[in-house]
Amino acid sequence: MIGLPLLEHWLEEFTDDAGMTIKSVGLVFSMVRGNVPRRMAEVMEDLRNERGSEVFSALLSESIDVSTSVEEHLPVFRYKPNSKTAAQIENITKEFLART
Amino acid sequence: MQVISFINMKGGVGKTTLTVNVACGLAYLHRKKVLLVDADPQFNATQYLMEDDAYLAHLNDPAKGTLRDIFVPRRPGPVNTVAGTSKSVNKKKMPLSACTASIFDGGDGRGKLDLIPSTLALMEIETSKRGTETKLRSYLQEKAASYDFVLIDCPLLFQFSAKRPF
Repeated sequence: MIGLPLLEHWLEEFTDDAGMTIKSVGLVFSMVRGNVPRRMAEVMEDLRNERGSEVFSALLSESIDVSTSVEEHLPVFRYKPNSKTAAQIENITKEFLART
Repeated sequence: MQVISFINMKGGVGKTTLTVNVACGLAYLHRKKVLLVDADPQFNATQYLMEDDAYLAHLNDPAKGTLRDIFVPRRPGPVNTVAGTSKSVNKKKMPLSACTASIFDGGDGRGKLDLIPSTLALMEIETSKRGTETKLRSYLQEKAASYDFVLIDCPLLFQFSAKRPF
């Protein structure tokens, strides 16, 4: 996992140069496959172990409901209110609110 | 007003989906006042929330602006019948109401979502002068204080324009 430290390093350099501070709300797993491949599951678990509560409990799975909601110009929870993706969005939003 | 940027390094991983749906969730489900800024020249968040006709009408309306107009406010100046164009470039900041499209308005205290749309022309600011990247920050501080949340859908990180959210 080198992407995350690189991203954080870049952010730190930029905010230092600009004389500002920002804080992380958290990390969200997105486009998670239904049957998570073993290697990916390991990476997700490693990240949760390393970063603890920084990683959102809620995640967003890969779903056709997303692409069809784009075509309808509606958020998933309005396009398909009782879907798994809608529930995931609602959970992420609740967690987002609790963290901000 | 809290300003939250959605950032990643890689394209096509669901960042815009997450940003748009969280913005909508805050407004529709939690009755928050939300301003969503589409800071990506690929304007995917804009396409997600605006019908094509509404977006084209917004772009073609001289009184309306996109994020590009916040970074590079260059519109024709007022015309004087004696002196001609009194000022070749009007650099006055556009009002926020002119740079937003209303996506949802539940009424007073019942949630609201406005969008600052993006445009392909936003790519032009990659070559703009130093200091341009800070303009969104000052613009939001000045004009968006009444929102509970400002969510920014950032472009890929290596682009200059990704710096603007902070």
